[in-house]
Amino acid sequence: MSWTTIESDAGVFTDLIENLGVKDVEVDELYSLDVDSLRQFPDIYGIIFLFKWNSKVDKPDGTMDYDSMDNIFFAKQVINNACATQALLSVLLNHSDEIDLGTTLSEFKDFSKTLPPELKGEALGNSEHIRCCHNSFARSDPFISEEVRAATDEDEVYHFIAYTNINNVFYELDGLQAAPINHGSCTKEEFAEKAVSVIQARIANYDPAEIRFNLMVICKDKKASLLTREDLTDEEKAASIAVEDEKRLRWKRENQLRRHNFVGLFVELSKLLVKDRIDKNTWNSTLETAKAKYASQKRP
Amino acid sequence: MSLITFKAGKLRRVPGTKLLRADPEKGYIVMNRDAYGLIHFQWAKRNDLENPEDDIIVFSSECTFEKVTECTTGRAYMLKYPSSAHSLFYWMQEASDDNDTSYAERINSYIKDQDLLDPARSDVATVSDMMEVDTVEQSEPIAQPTESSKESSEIGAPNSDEINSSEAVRNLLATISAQAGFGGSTVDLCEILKPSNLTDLLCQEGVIDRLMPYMPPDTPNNLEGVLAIVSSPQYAQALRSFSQALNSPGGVNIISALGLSLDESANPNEGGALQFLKAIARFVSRNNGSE
Repeated sequence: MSWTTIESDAGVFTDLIENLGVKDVEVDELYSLDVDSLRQFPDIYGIIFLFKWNSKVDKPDGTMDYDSMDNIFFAKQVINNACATQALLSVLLNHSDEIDLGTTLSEFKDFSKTLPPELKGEALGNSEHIRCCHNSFARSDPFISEEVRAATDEDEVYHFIAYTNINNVFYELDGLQAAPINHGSCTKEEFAEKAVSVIQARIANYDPAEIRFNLMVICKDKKASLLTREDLTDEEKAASIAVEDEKRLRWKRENQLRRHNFVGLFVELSKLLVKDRIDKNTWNSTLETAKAKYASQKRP
Repeated sequence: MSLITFKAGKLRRVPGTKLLRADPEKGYIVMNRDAYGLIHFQWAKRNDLENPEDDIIVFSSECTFEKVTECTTGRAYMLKYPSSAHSLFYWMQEASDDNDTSYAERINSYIKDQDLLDPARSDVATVSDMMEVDTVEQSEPIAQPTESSKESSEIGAPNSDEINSSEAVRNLLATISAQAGFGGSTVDLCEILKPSNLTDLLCQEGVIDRLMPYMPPDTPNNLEGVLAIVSSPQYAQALRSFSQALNSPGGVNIISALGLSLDESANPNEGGALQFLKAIARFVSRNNGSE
């Protein structure tokens, strides 16, 4: 019953929510935190802020809104590796009036509705279907476990926070906090400005040299929303749709490679390369160079 | 690979008492050596061998499998830890008791005769298994050398096996904190299998065809298709973790798991990735004529 770590990537997250049954929603990376960049996205449902978590400086800026928990999907983070999926659900499940969630998530939402936040987190951790979809993105790498990754690659320890508008209030949903954090009223039109100011304030809490973060936008499927745009000419539409199609193809291929087990290829490539270099009498020098390089990297 | 499997059930404690009661559930006791050379003692329900309820990594001479002499009405055995009250209890479910003693003897020999003390084997565990050792330690104090030798000294003089194996466990656990990287001589496979090293090779006749079976699905069967794969971040990431796994303690066991032969006389200071490449070189030299 374990949750594996998955890569924080727009293509992974989009495929993940589609596998969960969500229709016409995509996740995109936000490269620049400014109002204009955010306005490029059609119908933003929420933003996910993921960063290298540091408990020392982790104090909320807004006010804890305990009363909101009756009406909001808010889950405490119980399973660490599930936090990306949990942040996605924190946005999606709070917009079920606008989003077709599909059966799995609709049922999960109904089932967990009356549970307190701890049990919501627990229920998420125990959901077989959600876990399987999540785990299907683990690298098919038979020799390394999530523990190894955590131990050798500290930078991978990220925390995910969801920012989303619910009933005209801007909320920060962080599974490590006791309650949703209320950042004040905010209309749909004000969302971009509000998000930029709240997230910038948050980032300002950290030493700029220390923090590594990523922002993801959860929005309406770009292609689907392009089709309904009436302000664009057919040529403009076709060009934009081609860009989206290409992005989808690239994501699909990247996910295919993520799921591939490369070990057989490494063995075969090694055999071919070693044989070629032995035949050419350059194998020993190749090996010595690589050994020297490893040794010099060890002692910087 | 299973070392021994026989039918046995569990004895469970009656809550709130010190009484043990036989659970009628049908099960198996299984011992096996995992890919990293660690010996596991497991109990699993007969219809669910994949998910053993008990799965304990046993270290040399840290525990014994003994008949419970106090039990006169059945064939009860225990996996006994001298240093703790956490012993586990089982009952034999084979129809006849003919083999009970020999099963127990075999289990004890598997527990005792692990060559953990051999330096070549003393690092047979990957980090992931270390974590498992760590977890086991919390519930079953099998990995607490000081306590175990103290306890046994109360019974009598600690035997040297016990002290040595405790040392071995301590050393094993010490390697977890010293996980910074491999100290001896080795290579990073990323350096060997980097795209710039491969381009010449990939242009040779027949090479692409040899590689196609190992390529991700839908890879075009041509130079561009293969170059796109070996230049992808996913290839680089998988290669990095494969190289790290080989160079981690116990990583050499991966080499034999891949069907390559290990050099028994290999220098233990050579990391797994280097030994992997040497095993590949032996393989291609041996098969040179036949291809």
